[in-house]
Amino acid sequence: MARLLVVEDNEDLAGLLVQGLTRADFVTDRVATMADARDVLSRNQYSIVILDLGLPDGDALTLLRSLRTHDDPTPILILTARGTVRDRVEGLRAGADDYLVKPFAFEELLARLQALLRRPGEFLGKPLSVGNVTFDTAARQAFVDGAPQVLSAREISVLEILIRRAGRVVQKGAVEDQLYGLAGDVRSNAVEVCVHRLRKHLADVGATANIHTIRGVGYLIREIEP
Amino acid sequence: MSSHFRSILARIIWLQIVAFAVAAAAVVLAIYLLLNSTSVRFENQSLHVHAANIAKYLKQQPDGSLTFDLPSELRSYYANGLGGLTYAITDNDGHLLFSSTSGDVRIVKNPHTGRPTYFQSANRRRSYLASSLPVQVGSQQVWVQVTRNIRRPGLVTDDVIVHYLRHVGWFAIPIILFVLITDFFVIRRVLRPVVLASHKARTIDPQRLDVRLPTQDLPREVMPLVEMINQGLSRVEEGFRVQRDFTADAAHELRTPLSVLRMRIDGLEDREAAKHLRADVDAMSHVVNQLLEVAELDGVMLDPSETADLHRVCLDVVELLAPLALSQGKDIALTGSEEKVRVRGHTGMLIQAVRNLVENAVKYSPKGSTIEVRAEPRGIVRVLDEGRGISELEREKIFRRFWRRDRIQTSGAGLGLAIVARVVELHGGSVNVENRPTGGAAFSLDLSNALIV
Repeated sequence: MARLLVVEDNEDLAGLLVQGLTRADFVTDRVATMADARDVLSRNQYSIVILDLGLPDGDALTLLRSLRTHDDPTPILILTARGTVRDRVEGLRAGADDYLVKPFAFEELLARLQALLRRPGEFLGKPLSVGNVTFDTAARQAFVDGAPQVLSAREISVLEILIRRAGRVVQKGAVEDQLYGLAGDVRSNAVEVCVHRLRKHLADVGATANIHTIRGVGYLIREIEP
Repeated sequence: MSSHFRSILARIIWLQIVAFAVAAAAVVLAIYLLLNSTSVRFENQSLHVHAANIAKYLKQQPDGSLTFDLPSELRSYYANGLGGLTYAITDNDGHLLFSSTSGDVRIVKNPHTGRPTYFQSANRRRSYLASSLPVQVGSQQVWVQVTRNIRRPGLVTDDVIVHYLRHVGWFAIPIILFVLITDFFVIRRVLRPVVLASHKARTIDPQRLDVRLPTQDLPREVMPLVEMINQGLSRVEEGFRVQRDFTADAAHELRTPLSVLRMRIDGLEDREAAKHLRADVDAMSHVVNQLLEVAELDGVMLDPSETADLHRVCLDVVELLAPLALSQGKDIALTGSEEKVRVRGHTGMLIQAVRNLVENAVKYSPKGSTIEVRAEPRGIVRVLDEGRGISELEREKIFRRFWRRDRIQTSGAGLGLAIVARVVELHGGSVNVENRPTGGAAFSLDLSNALIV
C-alpha cells in the first residue's frame, strides 16, 4: 500500500487532499512546514511526496534540493500555484519528478501519482477501469461488464497501455514500443490493425468504452457518454 | 510665424533672412546719412571759400560808399549759374547791395549773427544750401551770402550710394547665401540627435516600455524635454509594472482557493450539480491561468539561441487537447509534416500559442466536426476548424486583449488570441486568419522568419 506525504500549508486544501487520497486508498500523512517535512521524511519512507512550494518557513525548492543532494530517491510531485514556464523548469531541474499547477483536477493528480509509482500494479490494489471495461494488471485480464474477455497477447498489451492512461492520448510510438517488446514481427500497420480489432471486439461485446484514433498522434480510450 | 514654420530650421533661416534685410537696410541708411553729412560739410566749406573770395572784391571808397568790382569771368560764372551758385551781398540792415543776377537770390534775408552761418532750405522743386559770411569792409559790416542749388544732377552723395549698392551690394549676396547654406547644414547637424531620439521614441509601446530616448550629443536646449520624457516613461513603466504584478499576484492568489473549491465540488453528493459547478471552476481556472500567462509574456525576453520543433509543438498540443475535443464530441487531427520543423524559439511559449488557437477552434466548432492542426515545413502552423468562420469586421479585433466574439457567452477571458499575437510577435512572426472555402476559420502562425534550414 502506497504511503504519501502531503506538504501543504493551506488547511482547507490539505484537509481535502488527505480526504480524497484516503478515499483512493492511499495512506496519507500531512505536514504544513518544511521543518516538519524534514522531520517526518527522516523517520518514514514515503512512496511519493506531494510538495507545495510556498511554505510559511520558506521556498520548498530548498527542501527538494537538499533531499536530492542527499540522494533521497523519493518521487516528488510539486503541487503549486507557481505556473510560469520558468517555474516549471526550475522545479523539474531541482529534482522534482512531476509538476502540477493549481488549480488542478483531482483525477489529474491521481493519474500523475499513478504514473509516478514505480510498480503501477500496486496502485490502489484494484483493477483499472473505463466505463464497464476493467483491466486486472496483475492477471493481465480484461473484463467487460464483469465478463472475462478472450484477447490476443497484442490486444491485451494495447488495451493495458491505453487503459493505464485512460482519458489521455497515448502516442502511436509508445504503443508500437509496447508491441515491439513482444516476440514476433511488427508490420508498419500492426498497431492500426490491432487497435481496429480491439475496438471492434469492445463494440461487439457492448463495452461502454471506446478507443479513439487521434490522427497523426495516437490513441485514447474513454468512456462513451450516455 | 510659428504657424507658418513648424520646422526649427525654417524658422531660423527665415529669421536670419529678415535680420539680414534689416541690417542691410540699416547699413545703407547709415552710409547714406554719413555720406550726406560729409558732403554737406564739404559743400559748406566750399560755399565759405566762395563767399570769402567774393568778399575780396568789396572796397570802401573814401566817401564811405562800397564798390564791388568782380572780374568779368567770375561775374559771368555766377551770373549764368553754371556751378549752381549764386551770391548776394547785404548790408547790416538787410538791404541788398549786390547780387549775381537781377533778382533777389537770398534764401535768408538777414541773419544777424557775428559769425558764418549755414542754411538749408527746400521748396517743392528745389533745395538749397547757403553760407552767410559776415565781412568787415572798412568801417562797414556786410554779409556775403552764397547759395548753391543742390537739386542738380550728378551730386556726389547719390552717386556713392548707388555705386555702393551696385558693387558692394552684389558682393554681399553670395556671403549671405553662404551663411544661410552653412546655417542649414549646421542646424541639421545639431538637430541630428533629436531626430535619432524621435526614431527611438517610435519603438515605444506597452510591451516595450523599457525604451529610453538617447540623451547623448543632444543640444542643451532640447535636453530638458528629452529628460522629462524619459522620466515620464519611467513612471509609466512603473505604473504598468505595478498593474501587471497586481494582475499576476491576484491571479496567483486565486489558484489555491480555486483548488479548494474544486475539491469540495468533487465531494458533492449531487453529481449533476457537481458537473456544472466543476465546469464553472474550470472556466475560472482557465481565466486565471491565461492572466498569468499574459503577465508572464509581458515581461519575457526570448533567448535567441533556443530552438523549437513545430511538429513536436503541434503534437504536444493535440495530445493535450484531444480529451477536451472528444469530450465535446469533436474530432482533432494532426496533419502536415511528420518531420521536425525547427525554428528559433521557445517551445513552451509556442505550445501556449498553438494551444490557445486550438482551444479556440474547439470552442467555436460544431459537434461532429474535425479540428485540424498542421505543421508545415516552411515554418507555418495552421489550425483549421469547421465553425462559422471569422467575419471581416472581427478580424481586426480578435487579437486584442479581452475581446470575445460573443459578449454574452461567459466562458473564456478573450485573452487567448492576445497571447497568440504576443508569442508570435516575440518570435518575429505573424498570425493571420482567413475563412476556408469550405467554411470555418483557418488561423496560421507564420514563423518562417524564425525557420532554421
